[in-house]
Amino acid sequence: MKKIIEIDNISVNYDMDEETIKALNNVSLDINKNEFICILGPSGCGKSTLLKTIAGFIIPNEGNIYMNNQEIQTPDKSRGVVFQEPNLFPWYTVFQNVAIGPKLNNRSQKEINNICDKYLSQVELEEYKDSKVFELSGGQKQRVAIARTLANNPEVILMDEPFGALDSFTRKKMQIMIRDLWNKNNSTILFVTHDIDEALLLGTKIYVMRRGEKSIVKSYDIDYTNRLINNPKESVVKEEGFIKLKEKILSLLEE
Amino acid sequence: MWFKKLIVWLVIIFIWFIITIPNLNIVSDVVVPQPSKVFLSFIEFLNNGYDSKSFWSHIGASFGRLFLAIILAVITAVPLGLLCGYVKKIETVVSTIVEFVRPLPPLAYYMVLILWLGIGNTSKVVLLFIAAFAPIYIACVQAVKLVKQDHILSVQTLGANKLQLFTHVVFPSSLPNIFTGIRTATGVAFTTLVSAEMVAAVSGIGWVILDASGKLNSEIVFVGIIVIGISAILIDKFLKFIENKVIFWKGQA
Ligand SMILES: Nc1ncnc2c1ncn2[C@@H]1O[C@H](COP(=O)(O)OP(=O)(O)OP(=O)(O)O)[C@@H](O)[C@H]1O
Ligand SMILES: [Mg+2]
Repeated sequence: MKKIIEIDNISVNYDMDEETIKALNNVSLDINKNEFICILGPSGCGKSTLLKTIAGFIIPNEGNIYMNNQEIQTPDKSRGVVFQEPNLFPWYTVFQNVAIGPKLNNRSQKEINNICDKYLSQVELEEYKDSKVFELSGGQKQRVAIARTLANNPEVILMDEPFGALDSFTRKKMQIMIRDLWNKNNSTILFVTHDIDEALLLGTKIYVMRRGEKSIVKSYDIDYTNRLINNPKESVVKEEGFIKLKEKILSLLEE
Repeated sequence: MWFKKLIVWLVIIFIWFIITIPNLNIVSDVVVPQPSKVFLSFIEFLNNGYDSKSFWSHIGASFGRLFLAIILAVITAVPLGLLCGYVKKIETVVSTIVEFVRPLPPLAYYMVLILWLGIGNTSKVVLLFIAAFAPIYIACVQAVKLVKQDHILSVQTLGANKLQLFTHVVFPSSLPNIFTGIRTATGVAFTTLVSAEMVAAVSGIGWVILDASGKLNSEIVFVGIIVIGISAILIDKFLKFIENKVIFWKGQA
């Protein structure tokens, strides 16, 4: 497995007026090609902070973070980000939103059209391509945001609770879709969530985070997502192994 | 909404009508002329002009100054305001000046402009330009600061450089504020119109009002005020119409 990102013992502090908040402490992890990493943890444990640091929005106070052996210093197109809010540009149509990445990279109009059609069809929004983005539902907007990121073909996709604002029904459908996209496009994904089921059903690896001196307390290699790709009907959630692992992680989080 | 406004106007005109009924002696004819007389003066003004110049040449003179001033304000204040939203150091310099000039009464600096630029049309246009500049400039500085951080980060992760960040995100995000600034500026320019035509003018609606008031011709003063008021409303409506076309996403997330 090719290592894409190497996080070497990083810590991030937020300097406030009165005090310093130690948001992320001594985190080390690697992101390898084709992994689907889920970062799981309760609110305020530093998940978003970790994701922002990988994206290049924040420079860590301690430690180093490399992508392909180069230090990450600013955001760039090799690391796509899907935010909790879709963050679409309302002055552009659905198509134009998805086209931004290819356009910024000086693709020809024909290439842009092909890329946009491909990813809009992957997120099942072809017939909305000329719609205004504010006319879409929350789930549709988030699908446009995902297509926009995919269209740029980033080496790593970082997702910060992308389905957090969706109802549970839409959320389930989106989970199936994102697993499918990951598989189809050979993507590498780092996915932040506080939903244990979501993490277990999507990830190939889970990192459990907590507040404290060492933010990441445990990691698990899992395989439910690949099994669901091979057999979507399989009901892994009822398996003993799944339930046991879920309980173990729950107790870790409650400690 | 326009219906309610219409009722308000009908009530105002009705009250105007009542208080100017000659036999009631509520107000003198010079203080508040009768609506019918004002209307007749307006027709007279339309047909025969005022002081040997036609109605439309007075309107043309005023609006020529106004539009020239506003266009100049837009093409200078928008780029400068957006730049200042980006570069704190330049903003400090420009904003210091703008904050000083903005609250000054137009007539005060008009005197300086006359010293510098003479009593011709230039000083009049510059006066209106200065009045229109500040609202647009301030709106633009603010607009850049209000751009959603997540929009900036989104487009950066898609590979945008500084210029692309501006064209794809900062400028479109700022458009609603820019438009509001232009509309405010147009209003302010209108309020400055009479001041601008006070000295050495021989045409323009503001000058007509001043000249008529000197001759105690209150009917024409009223006509002038109503003409300015109505044109200001029409122009604002027009700008709003354009704004809704251009910024179709306004108010949407
Ligand atoms: N910009 C900021 N300034 C100051 N403190 C911050 C900032 N962002 C986050 N924090 C603090 O850092 C800690 C970690 O925040 P972070 O957003 O990374 O948590 P999270 O795990 O993503 O939580 P959630 O699940 O609620 O999104 C929290 O205590 C938070 O209050
Ligand atoms: Mg978060």
